[in-house]
Amino acid sequence: MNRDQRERLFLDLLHHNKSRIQRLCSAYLNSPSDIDDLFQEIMTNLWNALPGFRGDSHPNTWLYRIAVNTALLYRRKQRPSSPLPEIELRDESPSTHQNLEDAERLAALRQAIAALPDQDRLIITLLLESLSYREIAEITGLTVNHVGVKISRIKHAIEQRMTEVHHGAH
Amino acid sequence: MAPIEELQLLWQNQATPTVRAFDARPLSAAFRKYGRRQDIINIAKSVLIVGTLVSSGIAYRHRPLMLLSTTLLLLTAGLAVLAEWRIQRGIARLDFSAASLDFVRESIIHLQSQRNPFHTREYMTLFGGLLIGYNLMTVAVWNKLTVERRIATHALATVAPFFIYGLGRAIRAKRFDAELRPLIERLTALRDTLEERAL
Repeated sequence: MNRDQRERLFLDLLHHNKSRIQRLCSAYLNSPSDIDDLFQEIMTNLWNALPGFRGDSHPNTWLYRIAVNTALLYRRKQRPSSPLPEIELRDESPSTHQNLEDAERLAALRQAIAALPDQDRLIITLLLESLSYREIAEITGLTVNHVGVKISRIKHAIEQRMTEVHHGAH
Repeated sequence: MAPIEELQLLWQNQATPTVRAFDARPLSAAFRKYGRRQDIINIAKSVLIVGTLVSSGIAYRHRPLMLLSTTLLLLTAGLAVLAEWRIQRGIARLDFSAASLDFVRESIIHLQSQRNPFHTREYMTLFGGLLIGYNLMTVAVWNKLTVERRIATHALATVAPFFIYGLGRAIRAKRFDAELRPLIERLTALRDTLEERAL
């Protein structure tokens, strides 16, 4: 891969996945500065890993794998044994596309995700990005069956947590 | 619980978190660290050169030709060290707090040029100094050598600077990979991020 190809692929991946990667970072960390640092680190790792990309998997899946590994390492480096932070809605005012109810549900969903263990948090984030079980398995290195079992458990945990948050709010 | 499709829609339609301006502090800190390391290396080199200069001044005080050759070698080496040090200080002082795309691009080119700086005036002078200095040393011991040894010593004195040049390039390549390549990678990532933002 020459330099031009590397740059083109990098920009293309960034263009198509920037929002997804940012959402993944925000689901994973709470502080805006941590989210930015993680995003920058993912971009650096992506750039450094590009020459090794052989095209065996879809570029987006490959990018997710880098993002997930970077996020897991970042968290391990950051605070190995600290409790998970409570996620807060960064933007308090609902946008024109999100009514108040949606904003509340999103806040509840984010809190539910924040309560999950690291790997589960990444799995549910990938599911929320509409990735298939097979893609999630490829990214996380788990088997498809294991992903299915985990997602079933995560869904249950999220349901419980969202209900608790919902009841707590009213 | 809402079906997963609903949650997916909710999740994907949330306002994308805004990535704040690039934080230049860690990058600038990495450059300062590089500068401190080069300072230590260059101080050590300078001490070595001055020490050798003083000791050879004492040892060869009665042998003017040997004294002249070693002084020439050491002074040209000192000149190259100082020139290199000045460039490295310049690199260490690069400030990325308000870096423009052009500035980052130029910095990358500047750093990449450090892979092979041996075509600069200072290094050419050092090469000339080595060539003349070693041959002057040969002349200094000329009368004590047989013809065969004179030829061999002269050949050695002429080849030595080329050997040192090759060795210097190999060492430089290793140091470049260890010290400057990581900085270039980070600058490249920054350049790409800035380019993407400029799209």
